[in-house]
Formats: sequence, C-alpha cells, structure tokens
Amino acid sequence: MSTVNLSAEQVRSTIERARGTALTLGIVGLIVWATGLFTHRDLAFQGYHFAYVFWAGLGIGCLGMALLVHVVRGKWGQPLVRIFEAGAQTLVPFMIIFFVPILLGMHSIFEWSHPEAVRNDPIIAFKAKYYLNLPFFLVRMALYFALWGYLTYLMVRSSSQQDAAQDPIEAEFISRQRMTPAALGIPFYVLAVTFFSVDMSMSLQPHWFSTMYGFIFATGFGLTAMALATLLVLLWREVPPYKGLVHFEFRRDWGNLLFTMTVFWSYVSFSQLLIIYSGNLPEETSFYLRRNMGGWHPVSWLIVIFHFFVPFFLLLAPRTKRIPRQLILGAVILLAIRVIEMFWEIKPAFSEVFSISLYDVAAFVGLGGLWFWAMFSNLLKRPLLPQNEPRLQEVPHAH
Amino acid sequence: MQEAIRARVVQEPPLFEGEQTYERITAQIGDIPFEKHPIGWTVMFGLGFVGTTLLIFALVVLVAIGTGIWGINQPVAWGFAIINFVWWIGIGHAGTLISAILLLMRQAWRMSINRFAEAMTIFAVMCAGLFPLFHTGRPWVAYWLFPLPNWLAMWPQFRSPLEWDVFAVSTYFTVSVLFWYMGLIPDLAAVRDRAKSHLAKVISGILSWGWRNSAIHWMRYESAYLLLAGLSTPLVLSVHSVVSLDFAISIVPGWHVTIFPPYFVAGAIYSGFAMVLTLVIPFRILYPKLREYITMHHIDMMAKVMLATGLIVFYGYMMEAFFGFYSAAIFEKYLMTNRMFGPYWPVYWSLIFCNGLVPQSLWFPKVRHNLWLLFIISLIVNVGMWLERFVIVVTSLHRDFTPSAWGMYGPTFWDWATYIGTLGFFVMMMFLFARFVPMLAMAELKDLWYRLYGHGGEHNGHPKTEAPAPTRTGGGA
Repeated sequence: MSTVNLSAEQVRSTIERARGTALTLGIVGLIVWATGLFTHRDLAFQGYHFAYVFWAGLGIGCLGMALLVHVVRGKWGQPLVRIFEAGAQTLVPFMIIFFVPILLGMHSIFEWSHPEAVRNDPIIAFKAKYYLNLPFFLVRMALYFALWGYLTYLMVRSSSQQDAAQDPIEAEFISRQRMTPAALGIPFYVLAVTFFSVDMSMSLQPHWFSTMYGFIFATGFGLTAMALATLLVLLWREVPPYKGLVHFEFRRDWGNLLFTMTVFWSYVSFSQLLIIYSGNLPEETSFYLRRNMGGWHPVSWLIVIFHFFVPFFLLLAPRTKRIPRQLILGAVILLAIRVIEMFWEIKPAFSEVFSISLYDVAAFVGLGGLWFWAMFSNLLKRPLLPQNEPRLQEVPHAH
Repeated sequence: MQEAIRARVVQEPPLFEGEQTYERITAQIGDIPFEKHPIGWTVMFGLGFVGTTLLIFALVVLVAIGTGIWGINQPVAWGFAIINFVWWIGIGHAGTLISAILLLMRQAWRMSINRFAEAMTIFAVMCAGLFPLFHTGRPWVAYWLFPLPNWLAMWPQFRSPLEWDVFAVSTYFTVSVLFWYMGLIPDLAAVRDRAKSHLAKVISGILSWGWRNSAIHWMRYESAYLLLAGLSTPLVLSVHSVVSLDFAISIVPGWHVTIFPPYFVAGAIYSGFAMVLTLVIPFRILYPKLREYITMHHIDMMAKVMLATGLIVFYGYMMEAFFGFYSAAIFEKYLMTNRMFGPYWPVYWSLIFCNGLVPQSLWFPKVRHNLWLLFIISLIVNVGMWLERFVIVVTSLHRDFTPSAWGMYGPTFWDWATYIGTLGFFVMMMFLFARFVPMLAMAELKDLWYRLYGHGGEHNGHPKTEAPAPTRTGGGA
C-alpha cells in the first residue's frame, strides 16, 4: 500500500542545523538577559518567569499530547509523537536546571514571599501559612517534575522497545501495554498541571482564585504543543521521512484537533470571564480589571480575535486543511497567540501598565533557543517516526 | 504460551457477533416490532405505566393546590424540581454525544447504540422539561417565557440564564427529535416493506416519506445527517453549560464556581452513559438478538467513556474543595466545611463514594466485562449524579451569608411522587419505543458491516484494519 520510505531520514541535517542556530540564539539571549540582573533585577526575574512558564508549559503540553496519543492510539498522532516525546524529555533535567533562577528571584516574582505582605494581609497570611510558602512550594515542584519525568520515562522506554520489536505481534503488544500507564498517568498529569498553574501563575495575584484555571492552562499547554508539532512536520513535509507521509487525511485530523482545542480553550476561558463578570465580586474581578486597564485592554482583544475568531474560521474551512501552507499559517497564528496569551496571564501581575521589557524578550528567546536545542537533541537520538507501527504503514499514498 | 497471550491481547474486539448478512441484520432488528414481546416487556411497561399515572396524579394535585405541597421553602426555593431537572437533562447528553460527536470523530462503535441513546435523550428531556415548568407554579402561563410581543409590553429577562435555558433546552429538544427521526427514515422504509398488516404498512409508509433507497435519497440524507451532527455538537456543550450558569451566574457560595460549565457537561455525559448502560444491559437480556450488535466491545467503550468523564467530575469536586480552602474567603471556606461536616454530610460523602470511588473500579477490564457489576455500577453512578445535584442545590442554599436566614430542606411525599413518576414515564416511553420502532439503526449497521467485511468476502471475524473507514460522513470538514 505504502510507497513512502519511512526509514530515510534526510531531515536530520535540517534539524541539526536548526539545533545549532537555536543554541546560538539561546546563549545570546541568556547573556543579554543576564546583564539585566545587575541593572534591573526585578524586571529581569519577572521576564524570566514568563519565559519559564511558557517553555516549561510547552514541554508539559508535549507530555500531555504524548500521553493522549498513546492512550487513544489514533493514526493521526503517529507522525507527531516523537516530537511530543522529545518535547516532554526537556522537562527533566533541562527545565529543572532552569528552575534555579526562579528560586533566586523568588522575591522579585512572588508577592507572597515577602514577609511584610504576609504580615499586613490576612488573606496572604492564611495562604502563606498553609500553601504558598517556600518549603511546600519546593516540595510541590519536586512532585510535579518527578511525576512528569517518570511518565516521560515510561512512554519513551516503551516506544523505544516497540522500535526494537522482533515481529508485528510483539510490537502491537508493547503498544497496547503502554496504554495502561498512559491512561493512569493522565489524571495525575492534569492535577499536576493544575497545581503548577496555581503556583506559577495564579499565585502572582495572591488574592485571586478561579476553579477553571487548571483547565485553561492544561488546554493551552496542549494546544501550544500540538501547534508546534503540526508546524514542524508541515515544514519538513518535502523531506524524508515525512515526504509523502503528510497527506490530506493527516492534515485534516491535525487541523480538526487544533480547531477542537482552540474552541475548547475559548469555551473554558469565556466561561471563566462570564461567571466572574456576572458575579462582579471585588476579589474575583481583580484579575480582569488588571487586564482591561493601563494599556492591557488591546492585548485582551487581540487574544479574543486571534485565539478564537481567526483560528475558528480558518481551521473550520476544509480548504485550510487541503493546502499545507494555510495550515502552516494556522499553526503559526496559534503559536504566536499562545505566547501573547501567556504574557497576558503573567505580566499584568507585575505591571499595571502595559510594557514589554528587553528582558522579557531576551529571556524568552534565550530559554526558547535552549529549549529547542534540547528538544531537537532528544529528537535526533531516536528514529524520527515510530518503527514497527502498523498505523503508519497503512498510510495510503494519496498525496 | 507467551505467544498465545500476546495474540489474544492484540486481537481486535468485534463490532458484530456471529455471521451477519444484510438480510439478517434487517430481519433481526426490523422484525422486533412485529414479534411477540417477552413477558419482561409487559412487566416493565406496566411498571412504567403505573409510574406515569402517579406522575399525572402528582401534577394534578400540584396544580390544584400549589407548589406548597413540595418541600421547597425559603431559603431552599429550588429543591427537588431543579435537582431533577438538571439530572434528567444531563442524562440526555449521552445520546447527543453518541449521535453527533462520535459520528464526527468517526467512531465505529457508535453505530449500534445511537438510536437507542437518542430515544433516551428525547424522553429524558421531556421529563426534564416538566420540572421547571411546574416549578413556576403557573404552568398555564409558561408561554411568557418566550419573547412574544404582547400587549403587556412585558419581555423576559434576557440577561438571566434561566431564560437562556428556555432557548437552550427547546433547541436541544427540537434538534434531538429531528436527528432521531432523520436517522429513522430509511429504517422505517424497511419496516414498511416488511410489515404484514395493512395498518403498519400505512403508518410506516407515511412516516418514511416515500423513501425508495435511491442514490439521490441517500446523498441528500447523508448531507442532512452530517449537518444535523454539526448542529448538535455545540449543543452537547452549550445546553449543560447554560444549565450550569443558572447556578454560576449568581454569587451564592458553592454556585458561583468558574469550573461549573465543563464540569457540568462532563457530569452530564457521565450520567448519560450510566443510563445507557442501565438500559442496554437489561434490554440485551430481554432481546437476546441485540447481543449480536451491541457486543461486549460496545459495552467496554461505554464503560471507558464513563470512567473518563467520571474522572473529570471528580476533578471538579477536588477543585471545589481545594479552592474553597485556597480562596481564604470566609464564605467559601464555610461552604466546603458545611458540605463535608454540616447537617447534609452523609449526602456529600455518599456522592464522593458514588462518583469518586466506585467508578475507579472501571479501570479493571474484568469489571468492564462483567455485566452484573457494570449494571450495579451504572445504577450507583445514576444515584451519585442525582446526589451531586442535591449537594449543589441544597447545601449551597440552605446556609448562605447570614445565619438568621439559614434553614433546612427535606422532600415531601409529593416531591418523591413527581420524581418517581418521571422515572415511570421514562421507562414507559423507552419500552414503547422498543415496541414500535427498530431499536438499532439498521441502515447504519449494514453500512458499517459492508465497510468492515463487505469487500472481497472477508470472513466475518475481525476487521482487516484497526478502524473502519469513515462511515457516511468523512469526518466533517
């Protein structure tokens, strides 16, 4: 059935070149950012925090998507799953090492880490006593990364075993065996993402709370990962092993999945807004008030338009999925707006007036460059497509 | 040995049991309305009929005397009426999910259970609609809920989610009925062609709109079906989201919770699948023929959906509890304490038992393949979801901001009579459906059978590929 050559991997040289560029960008970015430590300590750490949540979030999203692919075992996930796994592998140890600057900058980032805030504010005092304090914060972070690292390890080990399987039955058996840890992992994964989002983002405005927050972040992280993987594979669509593989059926499924995740993200985000708006309680509206004043209002509208309306209509159209370049456009728009959305979640907590500092950009580029370097390195360690995977072999050659 | 175990593990579960042909599928399912019905049918229909009379009696007394015969009071003005409304609406959601979303996701296992689940949706929404209607106290002026231009210049409050409910639920009912009926047309034509009595021929002939199985008919039918699926898909999310906003738009602690919309939707699908299992398992016993089409694979998949949605619901409980504490707000904290340790504590902990603990047993394939256990679990889940609505409605209302306004709530005989009455009505309608209409979508099953085994006389054992090619839709856009 298939005339696609799945083991020729000419794209490796492309990835290697991109990896080198990413490393350079990363180092330059971090050097520029580091100069800020001597001049604008608070700004620099705050910019780093935003970059960290975005790039760690991308790794977390990759892990979530990898778990999803391994549970539902759909055909659509097979060309992407190695990218998801490589992205998930950045969490441990890479993202743990890069957590150190956040620890050093605690006081620039978290209001609840200030003793005087704890003393003067009964609500922060309560939270600091039971939840938002440094020892418990560290314990939680250790737990999240332990869980994510363990799940990544299980998935990568099992899919490597499948690569080495002797016969199709053994390969299928390994693939089915993987479903159980993946399925069991998802509930714990979602809980970890929820509390991660509370710790890293919600607690920046320590009075504010919303039960929906975990859903918004988990979906957002997954969407970022899905958009990135779609983009990469589409960009490499003319180079083996992806050449001839990325046919319409895959593009339609990816486009539809991006569409679904975008709509779901919009649904949960809008629900949160509508409920808080209708209740109009001072402790809850603070979040949206911050983001609708001081120059943040246009950014909010940018998110409404480019995180919902534009991708909604673009990805709904069958045409987008038929023409690779249009789907690339969709993925690029989504990635860009995901960055802006994460900035919008985090930065207003530090600055009531809209601002982008040099350190926001430098930290974002620096950490991002290194993230890509790590991700591409992980990707190159194994075959770029799952081996012994019947779901890839039965791809019809209808390009 | 190792090889044998592996070979068994990797075997694809069948979507059909036994040897099938087009003729056999039509005969097995299409002839059920013409056959003598099992004694169990008469018993269940009779029970349903008794329940329905109880419902009518309870409603007549209610209209004659007033809603005072219910246990509702101040501060708990919503009581059973809203609990049951939300419970029934939720049950309906499985039907829409199966018929619309699983169609767009090209899930082959939806084909044999969709008709059944859609019928369930329609009857469940009927039961649901009764409660708010009679809870208004003056059901004869229910048309005031619609924005009819009238001489009083009186408009409904468009900013109220209760008003959105009117639109959401009536749209939902309309689309569900259309979807169900559309799918029935080719099957009604098959019934018409097989009917022996003149009356049956005439009725099914009229209802099938002169369906002649021509290619043009199929083409139009398929595009209409796909459009309806597209229309129903947002309804799965929107209806129960609007229902959740009935609560969440207010500022009552325990109601004003941002996670409510997706958490309600997941709960709805969860309870809906539990109800499908509660019905399908006995129906497979009453009509053993159905086992050829509703196989253990279908039941396994339904149990898995129940597990997944049950986990989302449980996540919702955890978030409520965590943020009740994390918010550090006095009312939020008190609400959670009151739920867990206040006068209604047994309800809360039963809820955690039914919806949090029991469904975890579905992780085990042994449990998913044991029909008795599964039946019991599905009943427990139905109860659990009812308790959830009780916890939300009653524990939030009965103690809000000022202790002087606190009160207790308990249902009366009439509350129970109305609730049990709707259960009876639901059962009666389901059995009438089984009596008069093909219970499974024959045309779709034949289509699926062709796609799985039809090419080149493949032996009717296991599919050649892991999933069948898209049936009838091509998976949307």
